Amino acid sequence: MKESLNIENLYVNYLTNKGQLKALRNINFNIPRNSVVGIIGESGCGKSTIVSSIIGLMPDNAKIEKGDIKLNNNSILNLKQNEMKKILGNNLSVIFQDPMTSLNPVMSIGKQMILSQHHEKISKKEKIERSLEMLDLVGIPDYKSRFNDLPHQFSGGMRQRIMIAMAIQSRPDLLIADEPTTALDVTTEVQIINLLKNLKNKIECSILFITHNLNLLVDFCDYIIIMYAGIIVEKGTTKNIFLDPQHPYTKQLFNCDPSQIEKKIKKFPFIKGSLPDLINLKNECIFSTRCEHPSHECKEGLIENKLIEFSKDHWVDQCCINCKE
Amino acid sequence: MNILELKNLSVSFKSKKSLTTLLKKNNLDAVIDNSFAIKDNSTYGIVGESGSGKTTLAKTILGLLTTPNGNLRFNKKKIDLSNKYRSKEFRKNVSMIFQDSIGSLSPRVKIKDLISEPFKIHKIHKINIKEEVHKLLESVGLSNDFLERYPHELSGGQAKRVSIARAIALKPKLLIADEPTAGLDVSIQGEILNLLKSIQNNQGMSILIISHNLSVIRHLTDEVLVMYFGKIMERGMTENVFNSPLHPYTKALVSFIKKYDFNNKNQKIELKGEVPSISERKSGCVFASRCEHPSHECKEGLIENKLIEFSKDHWVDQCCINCN
Repeated sequence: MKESLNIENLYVNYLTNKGQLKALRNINFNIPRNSVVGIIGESGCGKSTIVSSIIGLMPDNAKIEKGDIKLNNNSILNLKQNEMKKILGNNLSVIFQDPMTSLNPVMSIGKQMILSQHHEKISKKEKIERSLEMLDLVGIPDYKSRFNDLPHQFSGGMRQRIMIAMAIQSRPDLLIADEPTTALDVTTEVQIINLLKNLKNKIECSILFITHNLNLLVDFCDYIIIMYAGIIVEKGTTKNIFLDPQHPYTKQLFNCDPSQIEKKIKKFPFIKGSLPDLINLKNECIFSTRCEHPSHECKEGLIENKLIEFSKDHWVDQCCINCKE
Repeated sequence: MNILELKNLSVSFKSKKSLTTLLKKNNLDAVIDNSFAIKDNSTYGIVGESGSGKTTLAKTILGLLTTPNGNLRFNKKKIDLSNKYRSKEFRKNVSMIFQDSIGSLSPRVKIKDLISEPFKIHKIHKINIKEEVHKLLESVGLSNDFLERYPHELSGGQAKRVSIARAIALKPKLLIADEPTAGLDVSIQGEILNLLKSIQNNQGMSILIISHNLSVIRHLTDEVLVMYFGKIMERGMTENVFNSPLHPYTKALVSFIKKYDFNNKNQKIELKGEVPSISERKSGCVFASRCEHPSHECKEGLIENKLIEFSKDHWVDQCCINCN
């Protein structure tokens, strides 16, 4: 068993009153054991849809058309609610973006940590001991006396640590971190990322990491997936993607990062154009509207968007390899 | 010329009365004794940890929070900080973009009404409001299709643009932007910041930007203020502060702006020690608990925090010069 998560051929649509919005198309990737996979892309490209289809928190108007999601080689897509409940929090946990709103404000953190172990068949005393151990592990100072404090008595960074403690206390196989540091400042961000790095090795889990921060991706991830308008346009190891980006979107995105520009700039770089309409998809390359040098085949829609293996551990959309020259 | 001058501003909140707090002093000092000025037509940045008082500072200027301590002068006129009321002229000249833009737009009001609201409030009837709304939408890069939409039909970046259109509608002299790009991807972040810059060039205004994103602050601003725990620790021209930081906190912040590194070679300064609690302020330097090489005077709390001019246009806290 090498992979903790496989996503195969996933298609997700949203039913809107204007028609079917094709949010995800042909998504294929897997997360090897004990590794960190990062997803990056514009807002609206489908990052959060992937997360919600893995944890089964899809909105009512969402429909999985095709494909499969496997956790430890078992499909988790069509599970009944009570079967899914056994997996969530046990094999699979999530850290959400906003630590201010993901904790219950009227319940002490200790109680919330005990409740989240509902699927464990151990005594309450053991549960408390384990929660305390976790709070110590994530570095809450004075954790014993703060066990019965309410969430508002902690700072944002502390709350995110508590969320992490809760997420890992049942030693999950896969941890999903959906922009865990967006709401935090840079000094706290480094602390949280270092914490996740250490914990990953300690409890041997894989992490699916979603962020807009390119520096964090380099720092933290083993593999990177670049998404654009509902498809994966490039994926591979962090080094391959950052040192030798192939897809024009990846290149333009990396050029936009102001932290990599040394001289003071007057104008910030950005990607011109806008995302294509995902309801009335045209029969052409999804990136053709923003591509700087589209090939003839690309403009005519003769090439399908499909990932091919460009080099070892580096997959790129086939259309965009043609467009380069 | 200075458009805004702030002197000796302190803000404290009353904590809720409970048995435990009754025994202690029940004031939380969020911002202590800060002074700075904002020049015409320039861009200022505030950086600092969450809880360091950045937003409190901005809200106090706008009159969303009141305090009896401190002097505020805007356009040479004195403003009473202990009063929530701000004159119509002030409100016309100072506007704010809030961090959560979808949340700051009323969900039941269409975009066209949201943008024309400032004109109605300030009873400006001379101009053709409809035309003005079209112009504003165009200047923030949105098409006329958006006029009939509601806020929930917008993406994060679009909502930010609508907030900007509202904020610049009356051509303010000072725009305060609280985390204008948090949660947006790098490309949209670039577009929004270019937009703010181009509005500044076209109609002339000062911008005060609050952000965690240091690379944005470095490129965008002329001057920067570094806040820690309610106090300004260092301020000066952006280049000076980023190229030769003096305060240990600024040094740690600047160490995070680095080229991508694949072998973990970069030396990032991780701040050790715990953030002090705001309800139990101790005398002496506020940074003492996290300073790596505190001087004797610092540890004993003998030096108070006070900005001194280290070199031209570069001010730093006096305690931390001793500690270095």
